[in-house]
Amino acid sequence: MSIPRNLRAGFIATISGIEITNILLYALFGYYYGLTSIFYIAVMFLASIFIQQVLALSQYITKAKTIDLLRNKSKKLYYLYTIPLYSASNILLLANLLFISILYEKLLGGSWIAYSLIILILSFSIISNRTNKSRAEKILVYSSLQLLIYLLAFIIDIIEYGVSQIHMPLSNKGIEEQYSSFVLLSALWGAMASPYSMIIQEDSSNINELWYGFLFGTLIGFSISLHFYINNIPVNSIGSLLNLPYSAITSKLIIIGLTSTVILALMSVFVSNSALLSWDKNVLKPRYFDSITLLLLVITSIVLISSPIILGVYNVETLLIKLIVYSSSIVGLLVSISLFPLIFLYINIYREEQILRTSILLNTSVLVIVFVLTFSIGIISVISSFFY
Amino acid sequence: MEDYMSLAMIAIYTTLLLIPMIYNTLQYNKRVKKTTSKIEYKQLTRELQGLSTNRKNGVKVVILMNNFDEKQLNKFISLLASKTLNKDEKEARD
Repeated sequence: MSIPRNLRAGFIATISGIEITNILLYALFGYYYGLTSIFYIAVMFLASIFIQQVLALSQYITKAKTIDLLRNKSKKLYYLYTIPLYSASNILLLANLLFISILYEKLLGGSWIAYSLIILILSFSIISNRTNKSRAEKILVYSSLQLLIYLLAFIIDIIEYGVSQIHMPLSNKGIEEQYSSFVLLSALWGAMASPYSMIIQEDSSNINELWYGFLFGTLIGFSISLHFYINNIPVNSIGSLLNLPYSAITSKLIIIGLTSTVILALMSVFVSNSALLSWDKNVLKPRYFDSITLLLLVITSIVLISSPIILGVYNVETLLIKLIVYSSSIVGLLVSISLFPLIFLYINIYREEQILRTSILLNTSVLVIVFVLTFSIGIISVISSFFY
Repeated sequence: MEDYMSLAMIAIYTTLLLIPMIYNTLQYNKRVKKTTSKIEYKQLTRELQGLSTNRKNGVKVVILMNNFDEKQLNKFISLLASKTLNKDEKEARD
């Protein structure tokens, strides 16, 4: 229960949990909702941390992984849990890859050196992830610390404009022109709940580090959204995400941070993919791991090579941002669908287990509320997206 | 007005989430602390028993160790260690 260890673990989990969809949605919320966005971010983050805490606690109580419990309980529930999570994490993965490849193409102008570098870094990190997990992760976490530039930007904003500028506009500005607010809410939920973290969290039985994760996550979320709100930066292109003070240096540094977080997210998706696809109790089956890694590397290279062609499409950047927002809202819906089998599982655990019964009961009832709220937001967002 | 309503909804939702989360953390920490101290206690008693049986002329530990709490046990262990150390030193000197 040492605080520094929990602090570090929480910080690392947060940094590796942030990917492009998160940054984009924090920025969008900041632009549209102003200071109100921080409440949305905090409550969504809290809900995602709650789910991870429940998963970790059930692992502590039953001494078994949630996937294994569901698999033994019923096949239907197992598929209802794994299929949405699998598709959601891979949608996020593809969105991230598409975004980062177009970002590189835009900034570096299609030089093949950059592409080969990305593929090299990708394969290096994946290979070293298999042989020496901690070292590769350490390097990536340190390089993704560059995302704290957003925090720095926020501090510079406050120094420049003063606190008086940060008033609370409760009404959003012109949000109806672009997205339905339900789409944005569902997308924020999808980005924050990060489906792969639901699989990865099962391995950790320590629930104290989650609080530190919540602290850092909301801090980074606040700083990103408030930076975009104070400077009134409309998020309608990829370049607008790099709109930072001292942009000559910081925009390049932030790209390193973005690349590392994308790779970290990628690795997490690989691990959760292999956990979701394997039928055995030995979660990390090398055979599955290799085949999926290979497949995704092929997809990555295809995306990277085809990005100059994609860039030629008219108004592609706005389209891409819309694509990421809508795909993230679908991810949000899929994550809430995967909560449904968990409710049944916890009712079952409550019947069978003797320890921490009040906790299980409380968790299950709040999980029902989280499920109903997020699921209805997701469904409304899907319906309303047809009218925009 | 609508925005204040949504803020109120967010506040309700937050408290609703915080209640089980804090309760979980408290319960979990209480349990983990209990079990770890239990494990430590077991290890200590095992060590003590080992000390008492392995040494022919060592200090005899016949005290009912089950009645010891953690603090007493630690004190006892340190005392025992210092005593056996002194004995070893004596033997070495001889």
